[in-house]
Amino acid sequence: MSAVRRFIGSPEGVIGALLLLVLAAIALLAPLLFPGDPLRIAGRPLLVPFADPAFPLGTDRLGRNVLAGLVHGARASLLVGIAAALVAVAIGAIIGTLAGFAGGLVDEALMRVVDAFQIVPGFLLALAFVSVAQPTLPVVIFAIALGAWTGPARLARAEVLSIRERDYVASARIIGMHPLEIALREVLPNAIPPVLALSAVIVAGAVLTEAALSFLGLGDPNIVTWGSMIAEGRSVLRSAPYLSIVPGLALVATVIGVYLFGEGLATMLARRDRA
Amino acid sequence: MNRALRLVGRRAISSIPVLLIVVVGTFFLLESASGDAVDAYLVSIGGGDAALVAQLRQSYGLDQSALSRLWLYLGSLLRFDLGWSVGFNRPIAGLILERLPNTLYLMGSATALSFVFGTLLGIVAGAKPGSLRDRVLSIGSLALYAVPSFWLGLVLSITFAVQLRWFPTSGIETIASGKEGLDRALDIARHLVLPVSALALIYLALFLRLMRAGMAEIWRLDFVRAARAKGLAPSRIVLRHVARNALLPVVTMLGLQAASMLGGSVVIESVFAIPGFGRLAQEAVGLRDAPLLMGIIVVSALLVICVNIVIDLIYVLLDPRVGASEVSS
Amino acid sequence: MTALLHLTELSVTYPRQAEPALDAVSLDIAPGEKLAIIGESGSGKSTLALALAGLLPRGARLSGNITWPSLGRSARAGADFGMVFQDPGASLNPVLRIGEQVAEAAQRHLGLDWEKAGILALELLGRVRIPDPELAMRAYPHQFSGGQRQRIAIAAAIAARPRLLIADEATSALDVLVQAEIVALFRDLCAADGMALILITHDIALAASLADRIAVMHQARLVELAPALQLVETPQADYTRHLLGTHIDLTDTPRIGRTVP
Repeated sequence: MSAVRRFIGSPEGVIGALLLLVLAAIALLAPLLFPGDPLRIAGRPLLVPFADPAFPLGTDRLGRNVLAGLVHGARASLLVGIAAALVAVAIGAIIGTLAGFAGGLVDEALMRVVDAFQIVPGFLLALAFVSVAQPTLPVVIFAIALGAWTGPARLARAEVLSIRERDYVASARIIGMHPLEIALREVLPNAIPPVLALSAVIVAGAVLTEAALSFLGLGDPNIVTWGSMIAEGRSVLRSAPYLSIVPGLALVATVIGVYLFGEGLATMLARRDRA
Repeated sequence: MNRALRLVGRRAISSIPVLLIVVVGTFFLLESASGDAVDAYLVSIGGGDAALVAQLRQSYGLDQSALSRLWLYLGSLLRFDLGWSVGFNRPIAGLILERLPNTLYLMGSATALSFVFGTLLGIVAGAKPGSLRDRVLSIGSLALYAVPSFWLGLVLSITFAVQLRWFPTSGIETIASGKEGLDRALDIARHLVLPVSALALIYLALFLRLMRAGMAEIWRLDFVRAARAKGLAPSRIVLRHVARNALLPVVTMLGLQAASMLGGSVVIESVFAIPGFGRLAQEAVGLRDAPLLMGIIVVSALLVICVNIVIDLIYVLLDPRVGASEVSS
Repeated sequence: MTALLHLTELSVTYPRQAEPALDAVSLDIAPGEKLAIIGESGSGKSTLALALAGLLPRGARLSGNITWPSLGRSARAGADFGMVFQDPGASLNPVLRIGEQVAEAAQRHLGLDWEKAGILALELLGRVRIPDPELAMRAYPHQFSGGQRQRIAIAAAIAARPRLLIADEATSALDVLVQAEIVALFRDLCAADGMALILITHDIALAASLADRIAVMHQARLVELAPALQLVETPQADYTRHLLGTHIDLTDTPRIGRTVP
């Protein structure tokens, strides 16, 4: 309960949480708000915003409803952002915990792999991965996670190294628990809070990476995303710049929401540590 | 200086296994693709018979097993040979070398500008934590850091290239302008203003936030209290004591961000149609040219390693504590 | 004789705290006098030092008066008083050369250029008995031991020839032998320059061995202020007797080689 109170104590966190709640509500209610495929042609092409009450944000080059695309795009952005962060944190936490716990050669080898992933630009890696597999949503999620798991891995390893010498781990070893069992049952849960604080940054990065991938035409072509809407608007950039500007604003709002929420989380954790 | 040289040597040697992991990992990732460059080529020429396919595969060495090709690839890497691009029908090394300078201009200027102005504004904000200007800069940088760079590039392009016509919308230089020397450099610079701004503004926000957060930490330390007890000029306390120490983690971050900036330039190059390294990657994807993509990834990893070694050297100059024990021992 | 420093009814309350950290403390310090302020942690003795130096954290409320009768104006940090802190490892900037850190207060307050301030810093390092001052000028804090760092911090604090040195638990992080050397250094510096010293400590034996007068702080208040010998021999306040009592208990065991419980 006090965790909630500490979180509410930071205005940034509250604003971020509210922003994300609104976005999540929009994403969840998208099929109700705008039933049917947002990629279907709904009206006259290139209708300007605020002209027709049926299309508050106008229509694009092919006559698709921009607002419907925007609302459905929230689903893709949030889903990819959160799922990619979950995958990245899961991979990172497991590998980091293993490395920290095993030590020696295993640790050395795993950390060189982490180094390898850090010197390859994550975006290039995602590009290569998506081009090898097919651009479906799960592939995009995994491709983004590939470039984001090293941070959580390093953090988890550092946590494990600081925790593993503590008493309860030693006593677990004495009562005969297998090292891996200790790692998963005793150490991992303790390493999770600081990793969580890092997750917000990863979610934000994942949302931006997904947008960039679909902007370059490497997203799932069957779903509408903000990045693909921005790319779509490029061909009429001179006559209808709003087609590219509006989805970008939605992206900015989402990422700001995630950052603010993350700051709230960080403040909360800092206060817990001080208490 | 001995300290620095030793560090460079050690870093270079420890990078070799990491680079090897990159090469092998990328090789098998691209190997798992369904369809290769020959398939893509056949699609582009409208198909061909089995004999042509076999002949093409043989000429590119694609008929051999994956392991033997990996072995050959590693061998040719040692001779700085990155193989042959099917899509461009040229040696990959030459292709990359031709595109790399454009990306280096873009990345180099964006990095320099964002670092300099980001840390300076970070000092302005961090000089007085909690002050109005700190709040304004903090909120502003948070919002800026949330902006996708490619979208910022589009917005800048709409505003300054399409509407105001101050800068060109795309390309690295005016085509067939016949410009030479300084004129040509100025022309390239004019083409780079918008893409560099788009990339630099995002990272400026990052460095500002890092510097500011670092300074907020340093203000609490004892030696800052000691500096204040000496009655030093506020500017000296802020710059020489607080900012000088807060700079260290920012420099470290500069190295960690090298890979991410290279990735960011891929998208920016696409927005502004700059024939650089990143755009080459996108073209390689489109042409299903796995060896080219492979070469790009290997070269970018090398580039990131080099940047990090340079950053390490700078760090040694900035922090007297690093590597000091080794020198005395 | 005009007092160097005069405190009247000085009170400090930290933000979000109901009780004051320093409650109506009044005292005088004469030029050249060595005053020890003792008390346990939380007694307000460090708050007193920070209030004197103008280093209270933001939001702290200060009432009462600090005057410097012998100056006839308010004091300037660094020029009129210097300060030495508890942790010698943390009170020097890790990335600046020792020479610069010792010279900077002199450059600021004595109107010297950096070259002249450097010559002064070299001389100061010699005075605080740093071996090979020439080399030390160009070295960094991590190259020195804790005791040496504290000497350097002292040299830096007195570089602009202040009339008062405030030492806030300046010896408590050091081992006993080094502690004795620092105490001797304080005694010599005060004797040579006629500099006054405020020694803030929880160690009553240390206070008695160095100070002319001792002020005892307890729960934000000044409970007793008397010449050192008199305070130790005939303590008036119950709390002072209590402090002396617990101290004797501790010193029954030999101090050198005593381990931390």
